[in-house]
Amino acid sequence: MSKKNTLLIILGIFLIVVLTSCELLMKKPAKPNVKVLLVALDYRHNSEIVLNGTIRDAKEFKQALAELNPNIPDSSFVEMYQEGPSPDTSSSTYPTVNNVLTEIDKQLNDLEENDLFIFYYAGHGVDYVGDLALAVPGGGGLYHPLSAKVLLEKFSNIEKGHAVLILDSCYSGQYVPSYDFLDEYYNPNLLVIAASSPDKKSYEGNFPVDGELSHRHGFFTYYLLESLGWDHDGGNLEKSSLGIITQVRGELKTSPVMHNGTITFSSIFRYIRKHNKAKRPFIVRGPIDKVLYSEKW
Amino acid sequence: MIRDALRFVLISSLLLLIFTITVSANNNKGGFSLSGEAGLYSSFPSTGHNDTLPVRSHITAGLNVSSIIGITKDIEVDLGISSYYTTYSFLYDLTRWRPFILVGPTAEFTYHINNLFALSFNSSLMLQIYTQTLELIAFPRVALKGSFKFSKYFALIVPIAVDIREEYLSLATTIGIKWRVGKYHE
Repeated sequence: MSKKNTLLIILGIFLIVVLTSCELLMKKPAKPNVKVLLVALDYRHNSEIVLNGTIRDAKEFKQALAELNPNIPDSSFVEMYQEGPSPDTSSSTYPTVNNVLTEIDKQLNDLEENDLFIFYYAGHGVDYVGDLALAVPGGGGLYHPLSAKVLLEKFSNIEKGHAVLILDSCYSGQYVPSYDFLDEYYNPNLLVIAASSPDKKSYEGNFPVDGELSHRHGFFTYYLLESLGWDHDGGNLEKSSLGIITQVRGELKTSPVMHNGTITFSSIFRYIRKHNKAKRPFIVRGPIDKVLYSEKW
Repeated sequence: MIRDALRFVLISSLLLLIFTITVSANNNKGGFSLSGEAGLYSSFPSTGHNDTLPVRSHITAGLNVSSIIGITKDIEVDLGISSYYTTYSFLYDLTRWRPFILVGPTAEFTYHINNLFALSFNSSLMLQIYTQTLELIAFPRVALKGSFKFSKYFALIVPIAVDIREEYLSLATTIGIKWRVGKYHE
């Protein structure tokens, strides 16, 4: 056999191996439906625990997702806020533990095979245990805790679709399951990104808009928004009425973490980790990542 | 991603070059080899990964530098360092497998079938860093490598490597060029 023939055979075998990769041969999956549940609380009813950036965090995140992926219908966003001095405590979107769990059940039950459900939370995390500090039914009180155990039990049982938890709260690393098949909460269809490690707090800060340090955000969500390409200086001015944000400031530009038209959650995590060095975010370890958006869908 | 990969390849190349020069300076009997390869990296999910695909495919590229530490008529023994960059798995559904870097020491035993063909068994201890999450793990890699010498210094190589991780196996099927400087057994 000549050298030339040998080379051709080797190259041929190599090409066959490459071209038989599963992703190129399998039928293209259905375009995913993206559903988003946003929960944020400003705790205005108690001056000692007020957070001034959480509602802005959630509303700008919603706007960024809507601009990033215009295929997400407005009905796919569910917003549950405790906002302003006199929120409607009787509403089904008032973020009590029961209302939030009911909405999560509804969303998870509706998930199809290639759907993505994003649960976003901005608010307090209870000291050392990281429980989400949700609203007390009927208003008043400090908060009602939603434990990591209860939340993860819901999400770790999903069989269809994919879920991503994004938690901007203290000690939220408590919600990140180990990459261990024996961990009762590990589910490869679930990805959790948390603003802090299990034993650390997360913080809010003032960020510059129009040259002034006046734009309040959670550090984690600020860089999360930046990773999506959110320009806090662009777009319309923020408007609010009676303590409620009615229009957010900012507009979506090019995402610094988009590669080949695709944004993955780990790329977002990497961006936040790189830019928010003092406050270390957490993510589920192991090989599996989830896609937030792709132009190729 | 491409910029990261290039940065990695440049840094690796520099380290490998330093290593090669250092080792070769004390090894005037053997010589050294430098090889580059690229190809497909196939991750085989286990049942615990609950993946919709039986295989997740990535692109991988890497460099290896080795110092020849022993030669007989048919057998050659090399010690060196290998480094690879493996991309995200191809886009298919909402799941992608993360990209990573591998670096590790390598021992290679080569049997020269004749003047043109050789078959090598390669064993490495790989340190893996997921580039997105900076998670570090270690695992063994074993490889079979066919080589076809097409000039005095260069050979075409076709390595097939298996990465033995705790939770799943992966197969790297690559093709590359090996530049070998040193004597053959005479």
